[in-house]
Amino acid sequence: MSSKPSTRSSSSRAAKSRTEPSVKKGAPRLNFDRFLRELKKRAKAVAKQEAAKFQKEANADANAFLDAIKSDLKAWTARVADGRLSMEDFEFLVNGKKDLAKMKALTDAGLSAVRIDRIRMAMIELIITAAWKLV
Amino acid sequence: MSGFTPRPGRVFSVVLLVLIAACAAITPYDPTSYKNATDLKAEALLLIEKAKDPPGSHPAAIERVRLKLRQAYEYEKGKGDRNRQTAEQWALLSDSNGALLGGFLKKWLTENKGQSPAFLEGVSKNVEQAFDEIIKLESRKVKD
Repeated sequence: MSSKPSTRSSSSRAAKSRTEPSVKKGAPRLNFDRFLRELKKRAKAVAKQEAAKFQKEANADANAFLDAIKSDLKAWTARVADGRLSMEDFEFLVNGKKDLAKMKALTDAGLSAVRIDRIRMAMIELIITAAWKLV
Repeated sequence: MSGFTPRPGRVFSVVLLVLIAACAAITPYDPTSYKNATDLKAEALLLIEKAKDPPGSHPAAIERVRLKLRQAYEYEKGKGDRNRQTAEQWALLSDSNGALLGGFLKKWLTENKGQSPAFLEGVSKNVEQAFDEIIKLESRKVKD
């Protein structure tokens, strides 16, 4: 905390600004450096926790998506072979999977943005909580 | 008791932190968007089931789904750039040159005949999954 009085005498105004400025009596005192240190520590923990959660969910999601595609492609290929599905229809369905992959990529991008928003909200809470604790 | 030290740098840091926290990366959860997606999903899947008949047997249902698709897309697009992902999902779903709902409706109307059960089963699955992606994203957005 830079609340020590300055030893420099060249600028009495600067020295005064580094010491405690005139404040109203009875107002709460905030240890700002401690506040920021605490905030940084907690924000790091929140971000780490969210990133780990997101990674786990994204991996499980991607695997489920690929499994579903594999199973559908297998079934459709068999239906083309037994004549229940035309080649043209098969092609349309496979293109549908390509569009679905784009949809999923958009979902993932959106969910990343949601994560960022959640971290931001957690930061707001941290700011408020830390400020109250350190006053 | 001495008081709070309102130094400009400190005040700026707090204001900056609050501003950063307040700038959302994506639009919040919207119950209307969620309802549009879930309602239209049910309606679209019912229409796909009916596509074993020629399209001429269900002109009103086809037009209704096309209109609702367009309305949902315009609604999401109107929310601006922070809703880009959802708007693009609706665009993909309704694209008549694509291979999801919009593309299926075009194919059905162009061919002007009933579609095979195996094909309808596949389309139904793809369209259902496409709606599920939209619903999943909307439902996970931050609730105000």
